[in-house]
Amino acid sequence: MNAHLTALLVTAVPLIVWLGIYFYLVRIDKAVRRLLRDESQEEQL
Amino acid sequence: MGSSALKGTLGFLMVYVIYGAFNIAHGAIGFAEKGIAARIIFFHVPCAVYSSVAYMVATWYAVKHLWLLGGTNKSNTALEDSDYKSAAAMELGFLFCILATITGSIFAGVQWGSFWNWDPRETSIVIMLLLYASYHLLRTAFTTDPAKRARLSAVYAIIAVIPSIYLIWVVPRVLHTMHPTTTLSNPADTSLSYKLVLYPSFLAFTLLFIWLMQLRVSTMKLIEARRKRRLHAMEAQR
Repeated sequence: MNAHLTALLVTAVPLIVWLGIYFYLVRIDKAVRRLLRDESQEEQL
Repeated sequence: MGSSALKGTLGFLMVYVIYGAFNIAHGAIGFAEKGIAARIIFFHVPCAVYSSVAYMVATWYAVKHLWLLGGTNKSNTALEDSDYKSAAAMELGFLFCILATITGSIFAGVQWGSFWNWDPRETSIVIMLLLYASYHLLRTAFTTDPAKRARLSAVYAIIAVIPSIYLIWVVPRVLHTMHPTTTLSNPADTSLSYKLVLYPSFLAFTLLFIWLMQLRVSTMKLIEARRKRRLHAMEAQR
């Protein structure tokens, strides 16, 4: 296998792992913001 | 920097670092392994640096907490905020310390032929891990009394910063270590292709640290708010 293909294959694994972590964190971030908003609204009531 | 700008920049930068690590950086001079495994330094070095930066951040907020506690104007929100920030930094420090140990061990296996060599830096990171673990054990012992937990963990963070500084900055410089000591302090030791990836990697890890800390502080606030609401509900039932 040529060196470029090997490099691309090796790049793909950490890239997929990172994108998985990143979008998972984005989802958590959105959920936490929503919960904080709900919490402050409940406090105001 | 706004929250979405931070997240967007981080996402893009980390993709660039991962791509650059395997496609921009050339084989490193002086490394036994000049292929793929040497690229782990782009993740190992920032993790190791942030495992100690996190400790300094935690200590800063621990000092702030005790300072506020000793002052005349004791705002509960400010006290909780400094405690959460200190605890969040400690958790992130622990996470980065574990990641630095794992990545360092993999690289040690490739570069020095053994996954663990009891090098001064390896020994000091084990003690750092124990310091972090002790902090979290201490916090779990006072779950029903948040004020006491905050006070004691702040004191622990301040006391433990002394051995941590000694382990990170003094020990590896006094004893013989296999780790390179001038990679970051002497720019001539790092080639341009490595700088093009290593510096953005530091920036990416900085943004990751800031984002994770914000996220963790928010979840701590949520947990505490729910705990207080549950207590009020129980008192109302009596």
